[in-house]
Amino acid sequence: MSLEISVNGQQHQVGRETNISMLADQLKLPASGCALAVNGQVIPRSQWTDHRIKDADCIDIFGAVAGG
Amino acid sequence: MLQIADREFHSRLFIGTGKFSSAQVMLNALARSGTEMVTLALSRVDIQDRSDELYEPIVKAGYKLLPNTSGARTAEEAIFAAQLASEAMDCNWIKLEIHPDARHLMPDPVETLIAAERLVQEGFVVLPYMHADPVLAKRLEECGCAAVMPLGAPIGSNQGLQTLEFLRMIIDQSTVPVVIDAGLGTPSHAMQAMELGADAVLVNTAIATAKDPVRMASAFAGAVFAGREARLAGIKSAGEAEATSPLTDFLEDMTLV
Repeated sequence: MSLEISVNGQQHQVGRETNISMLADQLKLPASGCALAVNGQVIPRSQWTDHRIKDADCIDIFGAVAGG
Repeated sequence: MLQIADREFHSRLFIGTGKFSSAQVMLNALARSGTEMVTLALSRVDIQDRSDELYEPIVKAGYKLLPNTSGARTAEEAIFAAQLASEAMDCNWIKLEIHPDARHLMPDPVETLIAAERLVQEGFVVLPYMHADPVLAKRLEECGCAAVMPLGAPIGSNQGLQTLEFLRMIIDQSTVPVVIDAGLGTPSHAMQAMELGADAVLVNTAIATAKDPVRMASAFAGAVFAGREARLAGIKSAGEAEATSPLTDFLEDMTLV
């Protein structure tokens, strides 16, 4: 059984025991310059390994872009 | 030297990274300007496409980052954006900007004050973008903002110091640095802001959209320097005519033929 989650609005499947750190690896997120929120809550990078993904989680990934 | 929070700056020109035609042009313009602090925004990333990667080269070049909360329409959204920015850019400085009105991009004073209070409590170094309102500037200063950033004119409008008299009041009263942000369209606008006594200016559109952004960055750097020098030199206020040469009284007793 896998989990159905949303990543930046797109449906995504991950395994049951997936944590944020594993998801970041799967998505090849860079080591810096991006941040991640689960259901509207910012999860610090230091907690990625401990934060287990749940079914129907909404995950948003943000990065630095040009702006004034 | 300009000090904001615990950081010293040699350059009083801060630059926004939006609207440049390419990352390389932006980097060249930043280098030419001598700036030490640049703003960045935050956006949901396209996980597949990272061709627009700016973050790494800017960090590598050693600029102090000033992430903004652009896109936030409420205090709550701005606080969320600040937390994300802090996490993404490993930086607790934030340019707080909340403009719910997409047409004029006027900053919301109520939401800005609420967000500033909360972010200061959370340990952020807060630089709020605000209207040139002297009362609001005092309130933001009192709640612990590290600087205030009143606008000269609407964002991207290139109209110059439309708010001149109110900027004068803010500068006169402020005990934190005043950074004039938004609306500076030409180097002479930036120079005028510095002559007025601003501690620094933040420029984006005027440099990024110039035909030659690198050269315009250089022009702004020169103007900011000149304006600051003039301020320090002491500017005599405008008045009536006053001779700059000795009056020609040696002619008085002569009969000219």
